[in-house]
Amino acid sequence: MNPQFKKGILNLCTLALLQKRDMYGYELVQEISSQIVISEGAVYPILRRLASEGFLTTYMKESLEGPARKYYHLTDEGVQELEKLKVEWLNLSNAVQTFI
Amino acid sequence: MNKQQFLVEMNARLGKLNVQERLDIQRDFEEYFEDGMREGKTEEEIVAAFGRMDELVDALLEAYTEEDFVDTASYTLEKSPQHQFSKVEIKSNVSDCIIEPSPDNEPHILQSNENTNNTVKMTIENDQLKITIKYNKMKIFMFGFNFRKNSKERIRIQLPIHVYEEVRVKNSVGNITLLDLQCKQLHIRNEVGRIRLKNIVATSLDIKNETGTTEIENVFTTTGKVHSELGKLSLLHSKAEQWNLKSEAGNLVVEYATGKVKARAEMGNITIKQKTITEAYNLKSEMGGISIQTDTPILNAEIEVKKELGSVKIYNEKTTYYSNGTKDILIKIKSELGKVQVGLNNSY
Repeated sequence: MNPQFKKGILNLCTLALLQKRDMYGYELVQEISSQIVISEGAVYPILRRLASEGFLTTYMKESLEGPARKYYHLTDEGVQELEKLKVEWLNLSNAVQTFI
Repeated sequence: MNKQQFLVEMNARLGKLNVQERLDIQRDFEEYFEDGMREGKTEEEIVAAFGRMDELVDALLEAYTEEDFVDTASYTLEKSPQHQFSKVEIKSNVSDCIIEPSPDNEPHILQSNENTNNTVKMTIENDQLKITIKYNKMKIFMFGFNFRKNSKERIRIQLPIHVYEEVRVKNSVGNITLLDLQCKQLHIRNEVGRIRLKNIVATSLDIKNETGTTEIENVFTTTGKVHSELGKLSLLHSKAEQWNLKSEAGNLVVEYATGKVKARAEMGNITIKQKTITEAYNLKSEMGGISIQTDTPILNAEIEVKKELGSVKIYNEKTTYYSNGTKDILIKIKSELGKVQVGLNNSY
């Protein structure tokens, strides 16, 4: 898949998953890779960029199994970004549907 | 490629990123490995699923802005006929030093361009790489450095990946950080500043810090001797046959470390947090409290507490002696003034 295209989709999926609930890195990657073929490393750069743009915040939480995990949380700006990307995606996918 | 190789290579390739960011990335990937391995995946499988290293590194670097990169002047070794060395000696009088693997297997010294007051020298003599960093203007430096976690790094020393016979670091004022290093003898002295070690394999370890905290994380050694005079000493997720820890005024914290532990604190508290304890412990504090917390009860042990004043509790009982099973493991605790507690992690 085209890298820019994939990046856009990963942004959208990441924001959409985090709107449902806060997640840690591994579970987020597994959720996405269960549906879309990605390099599992590709999600971390996306998480970093979304965090530096203020769409996500992170916090550490103790886990029962081992050391503390870093959780990602969607901010209000992140929710707005998600809405914006959703509209773009739906418009694009509707347009593409008319061709295929 | 296994986890350690992956993390070291990624760290080396992210070289131009500042250290705090790189440690943060490394932490995230370590967490990912933990989670993957808990599901039964091998280190190699997890590495393979990350995809290509160069793509990952490029994508990570793209996620940062210029501010996160280090603007550096680089010092490289003048080629000498004898370009081999198995020992390293680093002496610095005032700077924050980061010692880390070199991305191209040649030694380098990188320093921020703002820092033109330093004289840097790097030579090889008799199998030893010698690095000296001297600060030329000594006048107001005492106000210039700080201990904040994000303090801007000063000097980065990049060493080829190799199992060194000996690495000696001596610093007067400033923080020392050692990352991803392997050697037989590791010797570190610092007068004022923080010492931080992460991902180190050393047959013997000898650290002395006069003022400032000492943090040891993911360090594997046979004998680990750490003396932190005034600052806090913390030992996390590390392994040795014998730990010898000493702090005069700071607190002493041991978390999820394996090996026999001998710990002495004069003024500070000793806090031990482990899954369980399977080896001999000898803990002594003059003024501070001593606490041992484990996830599961300590089995086959004998716990002896010697006490002048203050309360003692072993598994919620007011007693100075406790034994269990074969009594193979001896845990000796001596405290003059502080509270002594042995119990389960969740009972506090």
